[in-house]
Amino acid sequence: MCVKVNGLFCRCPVICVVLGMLAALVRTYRLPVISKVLDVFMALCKAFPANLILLICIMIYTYKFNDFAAFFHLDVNIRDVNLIYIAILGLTIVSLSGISEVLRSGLIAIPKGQFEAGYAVGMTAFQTFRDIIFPQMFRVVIPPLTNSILSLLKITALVNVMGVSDILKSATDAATESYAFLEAYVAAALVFWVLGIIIERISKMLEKYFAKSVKQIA
Amino acid sequence: MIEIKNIYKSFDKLKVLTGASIRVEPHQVVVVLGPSGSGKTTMLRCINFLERADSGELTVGDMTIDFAKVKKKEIHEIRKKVGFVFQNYNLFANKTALQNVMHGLVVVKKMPKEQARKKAEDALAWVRLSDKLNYYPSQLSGGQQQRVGIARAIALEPEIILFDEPTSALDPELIEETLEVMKNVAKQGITMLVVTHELSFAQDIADKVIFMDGGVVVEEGTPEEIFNNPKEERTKQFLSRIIAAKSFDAGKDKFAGESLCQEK
Ligand SMILES: Nc1ncnc2c1ncn2[C@@H]1O[C@H](COP(=O)(O)OP(=O)(O)OP(=O)(O)O)[C@@H](O)[C@H]1O
Ligand SMILES: [Mg+2]
Repeated sequence: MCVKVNGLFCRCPVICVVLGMLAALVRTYRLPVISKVLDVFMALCKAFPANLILLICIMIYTYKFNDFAAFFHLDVNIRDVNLIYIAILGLTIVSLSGISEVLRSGLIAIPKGQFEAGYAVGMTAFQTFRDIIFPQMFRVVIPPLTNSILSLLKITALVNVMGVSDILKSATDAATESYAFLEAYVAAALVFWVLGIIIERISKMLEKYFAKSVKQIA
Repeated sequence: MIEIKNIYKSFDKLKVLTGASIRVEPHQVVVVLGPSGSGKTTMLRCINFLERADSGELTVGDMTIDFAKVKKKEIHEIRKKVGFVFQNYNLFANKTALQNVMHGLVVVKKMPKEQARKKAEDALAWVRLSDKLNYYPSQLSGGQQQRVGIARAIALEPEIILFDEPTSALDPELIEETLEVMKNVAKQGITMLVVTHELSFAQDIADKVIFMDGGVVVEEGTPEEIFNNPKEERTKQFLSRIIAAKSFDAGKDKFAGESLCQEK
């Protein structure tokens, strides 16, 4: 159980942040066509409740998976695919737009002059982003990004609608044998709490590291 | 050498540049004057493509391009040949004074780190900031930030440095130190194109003064010609207005342009 649960937690935020960053870049630099597509996709994702998205994912998976596989000429059967990947996909769709918007807000908060200074020095758009914009952007988004990741952690408890184990479900499964439900819920709460503390700690460390160029706000 | 021919630029319906032409010879200091909104900033920004001109021709050193059909690669080449000092400094906020100057040397000029550091330290010593190498922009005064900005531009050894009102965001007591540094830059023989309202600077340093209005060059000449003997009515009006404002402001500045007032 532990392994599965950890997999869900470790992978999902990483995937969301990477994809969210890409989406934010596409939309901020306004790459033609894809930025329009993403605008629509993000708006849709934001509108649906999380458990509805998860249910839709699992439905599509159960009813359409073999059709997809046939269409792409993949030699896989529905039983070969671990449900956890569908859970990750679902959670990614649920959280992606929020995380991407957090990153985008950081990106558009950087004054235009910082981009221009980079270009004027002779740096390319990529070099300017990598060395000047990203470090400043990242510092700004650490607190809201931490929040988003904590929310993501909490909605993992929803994946039991898909029949996938999460912290809560593993706890209650254990409890059904012993009828110790209260203990099980308390145990689950403890796990969430500890994970929350770890994430907060990492966030504070990153904040400290990136804040060295800024005056301390009184 | 840098030359702009017939540059046109509009923002939507607003025609900002309407066929201005400017030429700056090597080692020359050219000062551009003009009323607010006359397109001075826009012209400088077009030269290193922070703004895209609609048409016209640009020559920097041995490179000539047509604004209407310039390629990405050419833009990059020209930016490497042209330095820019911004009105509001625009230092990299996440980098120290030293890193601000070093970064372009390492990333753009591919200079080894140690050599770049040495060069950046020299440039900062030259603008008298050796004691602030490890300060972040937020810890520096406006005048100090602008001097870092100048050091950043000169360290890259561009063919020309463009200055867009480098002192107009500064408190009066910080203007002097920045102008002093700019005079030293000029003495080094670095080619400069400077937009400024500091007539004393134009007077002391400029080889040529250009008066712009309404998106075109109205008049150009030596500082003596422009300040003591302007030919165009618009130039006269502008100068007397700016001098009146200045003397009202402080009552201490001395311009040769005062003779212009006295003549009236
Ligand atoms: N990005 C922009 N979008 C729309 N209009 C612009 C933009 N930049 C400048 N303008 C307009 O172009 C005109 C010229 O502006 P510019 O900044 O070049 O003037 P300037 O000569 O530098 O004036 P100042 O002495 O006040 O700095 C102004 O009317 C301004 O409103
Ligand atoms: Mg201007």
